[in-house]
Amino acid sequence: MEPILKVRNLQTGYGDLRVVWDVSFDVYPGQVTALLGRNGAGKTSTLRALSGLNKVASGTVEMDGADITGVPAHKRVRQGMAYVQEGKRVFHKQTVEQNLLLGGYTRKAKRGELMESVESMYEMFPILGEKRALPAGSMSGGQQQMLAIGAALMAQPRLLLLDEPSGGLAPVIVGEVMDRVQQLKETGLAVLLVEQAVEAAMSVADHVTVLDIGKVVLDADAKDIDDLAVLKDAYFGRI
Amino acid sequence: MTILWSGLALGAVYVLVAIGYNIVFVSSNTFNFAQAQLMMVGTFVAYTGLVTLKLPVLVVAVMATVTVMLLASVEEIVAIRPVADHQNQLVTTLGVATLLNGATQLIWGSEPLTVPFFGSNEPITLLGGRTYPVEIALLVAAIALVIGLSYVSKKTMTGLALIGISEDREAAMLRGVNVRRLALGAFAFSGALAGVLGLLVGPKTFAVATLGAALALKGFVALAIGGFGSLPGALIGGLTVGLVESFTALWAGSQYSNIAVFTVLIVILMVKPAGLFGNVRERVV
Amino acid sequence: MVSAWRTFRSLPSWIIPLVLAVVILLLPVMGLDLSTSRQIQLACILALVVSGLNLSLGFAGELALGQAAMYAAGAYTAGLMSQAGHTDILVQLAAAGAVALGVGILTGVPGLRLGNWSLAMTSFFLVLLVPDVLAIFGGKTGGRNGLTGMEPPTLFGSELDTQQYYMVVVVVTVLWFAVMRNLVVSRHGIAFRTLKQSPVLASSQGVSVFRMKLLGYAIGAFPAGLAGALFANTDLFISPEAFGFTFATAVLAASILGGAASVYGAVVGAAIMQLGPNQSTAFQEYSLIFYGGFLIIGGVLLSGGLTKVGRAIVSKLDRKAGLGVVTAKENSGGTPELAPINGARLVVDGVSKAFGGNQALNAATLTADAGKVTALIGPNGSGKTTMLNMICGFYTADAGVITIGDTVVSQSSPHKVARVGVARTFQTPTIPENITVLEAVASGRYSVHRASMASAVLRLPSFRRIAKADIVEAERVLELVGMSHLRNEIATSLPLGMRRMLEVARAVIAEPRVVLFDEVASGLDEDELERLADLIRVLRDAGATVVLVEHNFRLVLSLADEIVVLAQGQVIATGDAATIEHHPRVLSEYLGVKSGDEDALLEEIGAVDHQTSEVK
Repeated sequence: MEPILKVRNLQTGYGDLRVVWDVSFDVYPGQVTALLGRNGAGKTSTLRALSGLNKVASGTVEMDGADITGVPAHKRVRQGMAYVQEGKRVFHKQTVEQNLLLGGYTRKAKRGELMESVESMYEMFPILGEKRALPAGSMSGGQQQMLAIGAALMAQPRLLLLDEPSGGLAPVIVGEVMDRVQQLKETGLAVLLVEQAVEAAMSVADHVTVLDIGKVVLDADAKDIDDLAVLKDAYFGRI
Repeated sequence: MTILWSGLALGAVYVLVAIGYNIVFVSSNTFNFAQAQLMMVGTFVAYTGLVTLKLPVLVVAVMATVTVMLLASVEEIVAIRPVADHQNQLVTTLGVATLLNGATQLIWGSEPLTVPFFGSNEPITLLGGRTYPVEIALLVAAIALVIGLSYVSKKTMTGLALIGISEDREAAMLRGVNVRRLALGAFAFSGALAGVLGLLVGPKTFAVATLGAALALKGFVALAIGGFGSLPGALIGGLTVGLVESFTALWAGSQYSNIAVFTVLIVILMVKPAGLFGNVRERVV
Repeated sequence: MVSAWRTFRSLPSWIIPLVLAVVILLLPVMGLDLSTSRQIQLACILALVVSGLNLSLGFAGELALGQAAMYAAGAYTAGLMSQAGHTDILVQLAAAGAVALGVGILTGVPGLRLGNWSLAMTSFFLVLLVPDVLAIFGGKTGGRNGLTGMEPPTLFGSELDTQQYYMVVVVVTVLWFAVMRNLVVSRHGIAFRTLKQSPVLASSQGVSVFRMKLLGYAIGAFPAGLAGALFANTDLFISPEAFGFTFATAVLAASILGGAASVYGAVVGAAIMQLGPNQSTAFQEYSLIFYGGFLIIGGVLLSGGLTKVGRAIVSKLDRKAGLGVVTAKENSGGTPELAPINGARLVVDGVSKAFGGNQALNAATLTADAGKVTALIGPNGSGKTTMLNMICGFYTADAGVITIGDTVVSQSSPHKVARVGVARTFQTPTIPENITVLEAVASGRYSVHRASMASAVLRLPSFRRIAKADIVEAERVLELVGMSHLRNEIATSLPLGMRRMLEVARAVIAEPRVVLFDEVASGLDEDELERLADLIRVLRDAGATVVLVEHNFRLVLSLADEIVVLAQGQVIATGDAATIEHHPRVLSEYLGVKSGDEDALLEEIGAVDHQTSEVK
């Protein structure tokens, strides 16, 4: 099977601050690739570069075999990439329904078609349906996270970049979020999941890449990782 | 009561300027000092069309809309897009305002020109006060625009995208919104609006090149009262300024009007710096 | 050619302007015609007003556009005094300056609490008010018709003729620019620039942002008042038209064109604005278009104005002549040392802070002792940054107490905390532009070893002593960080690693009792990390209290005497490296293990303890 995303020797950061030095990995359709590591390792910077928000200093990003390294962020959405940023970035002043509708911006579909997708989001995340007319800012963290994911899914992506969806959420909610990720994976969606919560990520991951100070220190199939001790070493800089 | 109507009409002019400010603020997070001057250009084009060339009203409206829309687009590309920080943007938009001021004086001279109202000029009596159709028209236009644009911002995709941009630019980009193109479009739209409104504003203020700065400043007070980015706020703010100005002129003399408006500005900025409907974000280091 | 240039450059920087000033002073004596000398006079007056704007805009970073109003205030003060018979020019100048200063402070106090746009528009509004104020006091001021009835100016009793008055104007202008220059090249100029670049940085260096901004605004008002008085006496008539938006725009255009952040830029800009457009009446019609054009071009392209272009040419010529080239090799001298520091104990006791609904810190407690490195670590959202910002005074705690040594700082503003002896670095190095490495490092001494602005302007011995000490200390600290050979480079031109070291040098130059490092290791390569670690050890050994907020675990392990782990706003563990690494709660926070499964995790890890895992 061909990977939907190929990342080769990625180097990126903020301004002239280099956070990611040399990162390479693949993401396959219908699979969850977990990108793990401590904070400051460069996980978010990697996602930002993949989504087009950050400039790539060197290296390439290929999607469906085509080089998208220079493609601006808003165009990548049209090509099938959706990025759910960390920190539940929803539009607080707009209602839940408006947030979802805006997620379908690139689809150029009629209102009716979009509303159908919105309804299916309400099926996947019932709590959103209950709060459809409320401003997004009035919801709890977990609900906002669901909304952020729902809005990204409205664009009907084939590749979903998820940045720390568990951030600040109670373990029960985290479990729910991961269940959804499992569901999505089974529909053929490729997911690149960045997480600090290792256990949660391992519960859905098919492949694991661990970063430390901007470099890959561990790259393996999830089934080959017997215990979390290996990960712990990677985390605490023993490798 | 007559003062009430003329004050409201004057306030409506400030509302229209503030609406222009808001459109630009929401889409580009910029303050366009030249907004009022663009409206002045609209009044001059209206004069030329209606008085000099004696063209039909609709044609003049189109002329004014297109002319100012083009000017606004050029301004965005030349004076706003290449400039990185807000302070410099204020300098460049002030430059555009000055340049337009100079150009209009060169072309049309510095004497105020009378722009005829395309409707009737007969005074009418309303609620015990005398007013003119153009004053009512200005008021109606201001209210209609606030309602209309609020509707657009909530019900259309473009509107949602614009509100999104003003709240979180990156998140909007990640929804597929071409932020730069939309910003240019919104800017051009604010120019188009300023142009066509020249046909309403001109009859009330006369076509005067030097009025731009005063309108710009008082339109800003409207913005400060109502809050940056709020359309209903612009309505309340603008009408307040118009009423304060007119009533002060009546009771204390015209040389005190601007001082009164200035006092309102200082009080609002000290007491409620974000305006009535704006919101302040907590500062983070 | 080269040697001529070298000689030229070896002259002190004030020689050329002084010579120019003397030439201009003597022009009428040398036979210059009346109309040209009048133009030069007006250019000097404009230059005074512009220099005031430069101080606010170029140095303090405040777009305050009210100069025209203060100019008017000065003019009418002098005019009314002259009308009443007080014709001595020195008295008029003093009064006009004082009135303008008063107006400046009065409008500055509310204005400076506002954001950028609000300040600009509020100050610009003042220009709109000038005709109205004049109309209200119409009787005395002549309202829209202008002020007449002025007597010719006198100096020490004798009336000044046109030529003598010209000289007075030039001398006043030259004296003011000398004051400006002395102020701007001194440490106060650097402080203003720091304020412009980042008020946060300035306050963390002990500068009261509000006071400094007000000072900049007020000092900028003074020359406008002087200019007004000189203007009134030029024609012995004041027309209100001279103070409108056209003038205000011309002042801004002159400032931008000449370069707002330079002393002499005001002269360059004013000369062009005054002498250029006034050459023919045709130009008068186009004047607004020119002003507008200059503002647009200046704002877009010429950030820094013509003087910046001039400086670029000078540097190019310098390089061709071999001047200013870095010749000294980087020194790899012996062990650097610091004089003993009286470190203060930092105690954070039960501190809580919530932002909206988010509880960032929850009864967090930690202690950092003198002569020790305390590392603060924790996952994202743990509250590390909030903690740091609270210690520095950027946030106030909802509950709890923060003490440094014997002083309680929980309610103190950032600059007060800095003055207790706290220094910090920032996640992104913040350094003012257009200053050298030496100047940047020396700026760390600004609030600890103080010198008044007056002493700087007058170049008093007390100031000279401090300025010398600034250089000596800065050299010493640069040697400590191995950057002596870069002392004359423009600080912002350095790569990130060097800029971080510069920030560290700046933080330690005033021998702070507590130093806070905010993720100072990020973006550094191996060598730079080594040097940083050495420096931190030197600091610790000298007795300072060092707090290190870090992600780089290896650095923490090698440096920290004590590690404090924050998670979800609470301190969950403290101890040395060995304790932390095996602490179950730490592991569960970092690895996201659900609480309750920690025992299982411990077991697994215990089981693998003595094996080495093969990793790709």
